[in-house]
Amino acid sequence: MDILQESLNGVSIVAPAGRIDSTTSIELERAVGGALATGRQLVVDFERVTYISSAGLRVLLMTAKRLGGGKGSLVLCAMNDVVRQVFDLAGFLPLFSIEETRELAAAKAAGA
Amino acid sequence: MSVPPPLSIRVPGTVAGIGEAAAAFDAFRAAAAIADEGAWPVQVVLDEVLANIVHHAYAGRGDGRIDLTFSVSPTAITVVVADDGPEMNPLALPEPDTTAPLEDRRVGGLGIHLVRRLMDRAEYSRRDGRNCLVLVRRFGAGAPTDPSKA
Repeated sequence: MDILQESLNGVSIVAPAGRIDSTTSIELERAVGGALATGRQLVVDFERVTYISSAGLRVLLMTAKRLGGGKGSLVLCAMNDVVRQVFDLAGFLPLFSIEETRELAAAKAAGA
Repeated sequence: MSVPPPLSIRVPGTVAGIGEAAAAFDAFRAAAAIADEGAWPVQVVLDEVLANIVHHAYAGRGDGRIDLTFSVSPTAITVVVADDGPEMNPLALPEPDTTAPLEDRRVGGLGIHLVRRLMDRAEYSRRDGRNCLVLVRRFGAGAPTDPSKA
C-alpha cells in the first residue's frame, strides 16, 4: 500500500492510497504507529482511499483509544462517500473528528 | 451490460489468498463492466468474509483452501464462499454495539455487521462438511454498470 507521510505545522499527516482492508491495514497500523512515535497530533487523510473494511476501522479505533483522554488528537479528512458510508454503518461517525480538507484537519489537530 | 459467465476460483486460506480473491473479483467486475457503486459493497464484504475464515476457521492452519464463485445478472452480483473449516455460521454472531462511547467500542463483530448491512441477502449453510455462504447484492435504482467501461 502506498502511504505518504508528512508533517504540517507540527501535525503528522498519514495519507494512504487505495483500499484499506485486511491485506493492507497492517501497513496503515505501522504508519500510524510511526507517526505517533514523533508526535501526538495526527491526521489521517482519506483523499486517495477508495474503500475501507473493518480491518481498517480497527486500526482507527485503536488509534483513537490510544489518543483518548486528552493525550493527543486524531482528525480524519477528505473521505469519499464510500468510506463515509462504511463509517456510518459501523456507527463510527460520532467517534471521530472529520473534516473536509487536510488543512482544516491539521488546524483542528494542532488546536486540540 | 455484458454478462460474463460465473467465475470460480480456489485460493489459499491465507492473507495472500484474500488478496488473490480480491484481484479475481476485480477482473470479474471489469469484464462485467460493473461500476464502482455496484462493486464496492461486494469488495468490502469479500474482505470481511475471507478475513473471518482466514483468522478463525483456518487459524493456525496453512493448508486451508477457500472456494469462491462470482456471478452477475442484470439485477445483482452473487458471491458464494465455501471453506472446510470447523462449522461456524458467522451470520449467527451477535450484533456489535455501534452506539457505545469510544472507550467501550469493540471491533469484534463489526465485519459481519457490515456483511449484513451491505448485502441484500446473506445465507449460511453447512454442506458436506463445508461452510457455505451465499451473498447477494442487488444493483440500486441507478445504472448498475459504468458505460465508460462497457
